[in-house]
Amino acid sequence: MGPNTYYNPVTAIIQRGPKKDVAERPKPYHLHVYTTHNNCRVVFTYPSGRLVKNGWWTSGSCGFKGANKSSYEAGYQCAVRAFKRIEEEITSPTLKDGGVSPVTLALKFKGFGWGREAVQKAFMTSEGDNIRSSVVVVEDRTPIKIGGTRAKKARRL
Amino acid sequence: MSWLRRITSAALSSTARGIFSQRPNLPARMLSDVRHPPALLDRTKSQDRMWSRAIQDTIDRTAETTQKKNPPTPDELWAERSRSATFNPPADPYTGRRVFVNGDLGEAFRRLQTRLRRNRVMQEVSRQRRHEKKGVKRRRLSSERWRRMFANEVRKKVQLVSTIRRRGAY
Repeated sequence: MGPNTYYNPVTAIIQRGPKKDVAERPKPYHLHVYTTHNNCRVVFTYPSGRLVKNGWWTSGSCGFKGANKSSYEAGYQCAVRAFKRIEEEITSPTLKDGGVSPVTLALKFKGFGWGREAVQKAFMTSEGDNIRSSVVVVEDRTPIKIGGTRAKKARRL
Repeated sequence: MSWLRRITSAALSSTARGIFSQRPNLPARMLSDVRHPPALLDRTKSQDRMWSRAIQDTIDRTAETTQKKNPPTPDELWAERSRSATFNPPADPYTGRRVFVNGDLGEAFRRLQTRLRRNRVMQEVSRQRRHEKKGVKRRRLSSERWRRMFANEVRKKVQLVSTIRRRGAY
C-alpha cells in the first residue's frame, strides 16, 4: 500500500465506478443573489465569471425606491427578470463569450435579506418552470469573519 | 440474558463438582442480536455485517500473501492506489455550504437551510455586524452555557424516565 498510508478495510471493499462523471460535467453559469437589509442584486455570469450582456438586475433597476428596495416584492421582480434572460440564454447560448451548450446554473446566495427567500420562492413558482431543471448546485457565500476587523459599535436605540 | 445464566450455572456446577467441564456452547451471536437498552447499542446490524465482511476480506486477501509473493512493484502499487482513490475537487471556503441538486430544487434549498441553521450561520453573521464588547460577550456566553447544561440535564432525566417506562416500571 505504501509506507505512510493506513489500510481502511471498510473503504477498500467499497466498489467505486471509474472516474468519468467529473470529466463530463459542463461548467455551470453563475447566478449571484446578493441581498442586504437595504437592497437586492441579482447577477448572471458566464462560467468564467464574466458578466452576461444585460445580465444584472437590482431593486432600483426594477423601479423600486428607498425603503421598497429591500422588500420581498423587489427581490421577486429581480428574479423574474433574471429568469427571462436565462431562458434566452438557454435557447440561444452565446458560445462566443465563454458560454457552454447545455446551460446549467449554480445559485450563489450572499446575505440574508428578504430578497433571498423571494428568489427561492420565484424558482419554485410557475415563473421558474423552465429554469428549475437546469440548476445544478446551490451555495451560500455570505462572508463570515474569523476574528477579522473590528465592526462598528453596537447601536443604542 | 438466558445465555448468561447458562454460563454461570455451568461454571458453578463445574466448580461445585470439582471437574473442569467443557467450554459452554455459546450461540454465535452479534452484539446487535441481543436485546440491550438503547444506550449500550452503538453499532447497527448493518455496520456489524460490514465489519465482519471487511475482516473476512482482509483474511482472504492476506491468507496466501505472507511469504510467497515478492513485494508489489511500484507499477502495481500505483495501479492499486488509482483504482481505489477517487478524490473530490479541492475544498474552498464555501465547500461546506455547497449543496448539489439531485432532481428536486426545493429539497436542495431545504438541505442548505438546514445546514446553515445547524451551524448557526445567520446568528453568527448578525452578531458580527456590530462589535460586541467583552462584558456583553462574557454575559452572553455564560447564559448560553447555563441554558445548554440545563437542557442536557433535563434531556437525560426524560430519557431515563422513558427507558424505565419502556422496560416496565415494576
